[in-house]
Amino acid sequence: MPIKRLFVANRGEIALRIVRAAQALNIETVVAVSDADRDSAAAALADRAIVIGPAAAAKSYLDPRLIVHAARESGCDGLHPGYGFLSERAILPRLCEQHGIAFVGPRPDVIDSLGDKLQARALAGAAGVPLVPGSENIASPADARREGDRIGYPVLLKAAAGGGGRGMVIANNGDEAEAGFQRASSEAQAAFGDGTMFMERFVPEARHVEVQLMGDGKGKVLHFGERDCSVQRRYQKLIEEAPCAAMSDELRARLHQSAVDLAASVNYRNAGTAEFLFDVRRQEFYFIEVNARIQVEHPVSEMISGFDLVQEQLRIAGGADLSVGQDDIVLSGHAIECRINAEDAERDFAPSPGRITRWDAPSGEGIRLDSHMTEGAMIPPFYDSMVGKLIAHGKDRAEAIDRLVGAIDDFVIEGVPTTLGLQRAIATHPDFVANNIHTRWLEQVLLPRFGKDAA
Amino acid sequence: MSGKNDPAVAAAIDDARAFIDAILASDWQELHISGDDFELFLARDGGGPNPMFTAIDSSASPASAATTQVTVIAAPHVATIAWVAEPGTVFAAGKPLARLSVLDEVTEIRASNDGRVAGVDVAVGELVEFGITILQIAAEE
Repeated sequence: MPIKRLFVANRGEIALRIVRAAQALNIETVVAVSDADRDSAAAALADRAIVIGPAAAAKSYLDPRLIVHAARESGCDGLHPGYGFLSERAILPRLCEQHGIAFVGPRPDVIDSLGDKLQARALAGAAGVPLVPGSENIASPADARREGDRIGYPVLLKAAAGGGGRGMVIANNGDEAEAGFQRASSEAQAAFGDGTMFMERFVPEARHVEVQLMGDGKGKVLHFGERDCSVQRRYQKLIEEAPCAAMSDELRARLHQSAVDLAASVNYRNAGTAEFLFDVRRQEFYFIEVNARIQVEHPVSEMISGFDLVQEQLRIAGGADLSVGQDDIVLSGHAIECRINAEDAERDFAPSPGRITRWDAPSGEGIRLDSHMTEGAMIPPFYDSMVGKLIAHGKDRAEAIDRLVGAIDDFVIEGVPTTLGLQRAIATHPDFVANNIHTRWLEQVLLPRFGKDAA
Repeated sequence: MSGKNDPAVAAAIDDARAFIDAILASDWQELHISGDDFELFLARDGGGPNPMFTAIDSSASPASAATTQVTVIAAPHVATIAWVAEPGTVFAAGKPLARLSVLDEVTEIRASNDGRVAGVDVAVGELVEFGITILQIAAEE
């Protein structure tokens, strides 16, 4: 049965995004807010806002019982968790099931099994999805050389009992594998009382690629193409684009098929993303994990596909079948998103909450802004510091970059420091323009010089 | 704090400094943060009273009205009122003043001092949001 009244269990731009998608489908909305978010844009736009708890997320957005109680008592028959907070905690869909509320996301058992890294790896392997090539336990230097030769160098030797980087060695050839084993194994023996090692292929310059998926829960799964999210700082994505321009069509087709096979093998329901490491030199990809929710960067897939993924989520959660077939999803052009955070680049990107005194947002052909901010709005210090996502679409990557840079230049935000300057530095960097980047490029190449080259 | 040369400690100090700078740069009069295992209150001169000194119940967030010594008991989170004391009820410290239900669980708000129920602002079965006044209590003379 289609959802009639939706409970939005999140905040910030995604809460606003979900309210708008629901309104487009004539679904009533109730937004959960903490005490700090009473005046949020989502609360103002929704039919109703319920203050569920104090500002501290642990006592508001992270309490599944308060969320489901408020949803049930306000007569909601659907609940969208957004991203972050409780979105990948199986307790939320379990409570929803118990209280007759349709959860906009996967079934709880699927969240549990995909949330466990080992189980997810096993599921991926069983579905024929490529994993990072690795070894069983290695007990001697000769084993280390043999396994290294088989896997292909460079390899990473890791202590089976290890963690925290101790006992980890990179080996570039057979001699280094033997010597590295000796050293790392005795280190591991000393540190953990166990010198057993294992080995994985090491990808020095990897890209992060991911496939946007949507399943009907009955085994049918569609993909909406892939995204490339290789510009990262401390494993946080800063820029995401679609498609991955560094991938051949043949490899892209295999990537999509792998992601769809994995999701179909668990009868995946609703939106999800399969993440992969992309070894550009070898033109191979390896499974990392599945994110069982809508992701921050979903707009770039919407921009190249023309589909509203959140509306599709709401239809599926309301019991509808997928509205289209794979052939109906035609991807065109290139889209790039940059996350704008209220952070101070001069203080190692410390979050900088405060009041926005001026907010002059860009617009124009191919420009989209997903944001909950307006002039005078307050960024509370309790949550993440993202103030918006700026997305540019063009006929190709070069046009998308041009439009993005133009929009960044037009964007005026005053009152708090933001990462707009950093985003501009990335988008205009020769390496980024040439698409010659990898997941450690930002930290290794751009950031060490950022702010020091200013003329 | 010890270990200032420890990068993690140095980063924490930087974070704390940035946090205080941000508060000072804002036009906020006061800030009250509570987490699972900590509570923090910052106020400028002329900011509000420290709620950590005026709490009646650890799970409630009351505010006092100066002249009549009537204290407000507010909902600590969204909940449905399962039961609430009658107006005029005289109670002793430790006695329940209201019961709140969240899904199938009921919790009590208990009095921390002797007193009398001066007013009740909600009805049984009502959904109350965080911060909504449930009842007003007067200290027993």
